[in-house]
Amino acid sequence: MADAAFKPLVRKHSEIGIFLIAILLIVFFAATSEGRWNNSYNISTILQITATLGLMTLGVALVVGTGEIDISVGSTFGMSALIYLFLAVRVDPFIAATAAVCVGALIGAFNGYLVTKTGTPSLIITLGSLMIFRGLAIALTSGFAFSIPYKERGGFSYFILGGDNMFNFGTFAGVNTGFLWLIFALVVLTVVLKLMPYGNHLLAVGGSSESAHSRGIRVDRVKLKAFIICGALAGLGGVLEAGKLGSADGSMGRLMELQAIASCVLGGCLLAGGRISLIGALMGAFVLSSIQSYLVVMAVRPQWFMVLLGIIVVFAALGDKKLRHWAHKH
Amino acid sequence: MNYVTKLAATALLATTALSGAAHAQDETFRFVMVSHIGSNDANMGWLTESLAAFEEKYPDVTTEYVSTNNYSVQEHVRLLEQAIATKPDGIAVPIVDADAFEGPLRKAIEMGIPVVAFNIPDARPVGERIPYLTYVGGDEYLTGLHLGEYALEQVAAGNIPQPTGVVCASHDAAHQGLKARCAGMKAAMEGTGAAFEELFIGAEPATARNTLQSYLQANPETNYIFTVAGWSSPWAWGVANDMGLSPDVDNEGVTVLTVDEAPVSIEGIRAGHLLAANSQGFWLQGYAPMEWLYWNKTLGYEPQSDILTGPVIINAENAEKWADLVRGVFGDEEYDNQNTW
Repeated sequence: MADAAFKPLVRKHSEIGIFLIAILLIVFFAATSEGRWNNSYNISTILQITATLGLMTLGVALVVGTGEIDISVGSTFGMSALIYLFLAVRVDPFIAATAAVCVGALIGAFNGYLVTKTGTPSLIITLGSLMIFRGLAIALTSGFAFSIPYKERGGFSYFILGGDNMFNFGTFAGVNTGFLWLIFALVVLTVVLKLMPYGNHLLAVGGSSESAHSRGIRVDRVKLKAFIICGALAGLGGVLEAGKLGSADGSMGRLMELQAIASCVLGGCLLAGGRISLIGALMGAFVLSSIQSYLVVMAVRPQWFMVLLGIIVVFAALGDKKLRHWAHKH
Repeated sequence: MNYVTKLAATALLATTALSGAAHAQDETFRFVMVSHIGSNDANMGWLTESLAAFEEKYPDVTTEYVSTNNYSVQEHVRLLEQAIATKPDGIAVPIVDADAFEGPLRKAIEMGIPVVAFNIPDARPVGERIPYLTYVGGDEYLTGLHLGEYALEQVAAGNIPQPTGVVCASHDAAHQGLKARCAGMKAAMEGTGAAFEELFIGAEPATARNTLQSYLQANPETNYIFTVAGWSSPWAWGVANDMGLSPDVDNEGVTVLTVDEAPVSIEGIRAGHLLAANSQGFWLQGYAPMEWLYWNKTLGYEPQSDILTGPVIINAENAEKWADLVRGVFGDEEYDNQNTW
């Protein structure tokens, strides 16, 4: 009886699996960490990581929805962080943030233009971008970090751009302001996907670009927009991370692209395109951040850290797949 | 009645005292080392071995070693914040980037968690730096400087050629400590007339070898290679050897210098491939911060100055003693595994 009610729910909402996994993991982490994982300071840290990774993940989810992929987001994240830090001390943090997000969007446009105009697989194009912009980031910094001294990071501009926590009173550590930006981006993109034509076009292109084209959808334009939004969101993530750390070097954002893609897949996005869940992808980012945090607070040695993280992610993905298989069985 | 009251009071006092004593004995501490050295770096062994030795000496202390094999300042700060969230009794951390670490560390100190910097200090003046208890570690600039000065002593003794070009081969372009090593070497070579260049070779063997080979072809005057990690010294020697540049320690061709008391550095010196390396007292850098944290927690002790643990030169004369010491810490099997010559 309960099965009959639950199956359609799982079939309709691809993100149900990751929510169940998240609940199971939270219960397990809280029960076994003796308060090391489930305390407000740590949850605050996890939410801050989820905020920056989540913004990147939302952008990747859009690109994945069109049937393409963007693996350059880690480098875009790093470039934007450097541009923000370089300009924030010279002009103004808000102007710096705007410029950094624009650079992210430009990198996205560069990727999208090459993918749509040349027909080259997005994996190859964005692999090239990943290397180009990582290399540029290393070259720009020449071994030094771009930074803003801790004492100079006061004021509202720095605060709202990920610089500190809000709602922190007493022993409650609060939530980093970057999380506000994540919620804002989620709401805007959900409205765009659910209520505006672009949302339908994006999923139609991902489902079958030929079919979408035959119905008058400008496939290239839809993909280009997805890449631009993806770049801008990765750029915003980089700004918020730089705002939090006050410092960035050439390695900022390295390998985050893999976490973003893993978050999308865990969250119910189909890599072939045509099906995405923004909230699921965000939950994927939260689960990854939580697993990573659990392994750290339990002092797992670095040689086992990656192995365990990988194993847990594989099990989570398998569990999710099994759940969906069960839901589609009559 | 009076006797009964006195007896009861005595019993109560005794119980309180005994429970207090038992409590004092039961008090345990947990210190966390949030390191930038992952298991892909042989130096991690020094730190984890010294933590194990510390735990053996102080059974009331648990130590934890937290690090990553995918290092970045961003990742390190995350590890640090998550370590702080567990509310340990003390933290030891290298100040890789003072601007990035200051916020979390000030928070930790405000929470009452004592902090000791190890391996890399906050380079700013004392009044401006992060208010940690003390710094325990080497001096990266002196590492390069002393190795360079040692090489020039060997030149004067006629054991190796006069430097004409020096390349400082670094695997991490963003690591300030490595840059300081190169800067020290550069300072030592000033006045010799030798050209000096810092070269980013990366941490991947094939790429590093290609980069170094291209550099040596383009800069034939280069006859000193200083690798700022022990594990990259066999790559440098291999490239120079393949190019016929006579990289062994003698009065011709290329001379290779490196760092660390790692098996690969020591065995390279013993085999005559490397001129010298250095030790910055890695074992002490793991053990001493724990000792200071313990004394601070139990006795309120605060060191009055930084504690330098190096550098000291490792050369052909003392390499055997170093080999014995390192074998004693790592064990024969691990020592041999880490010797990649």
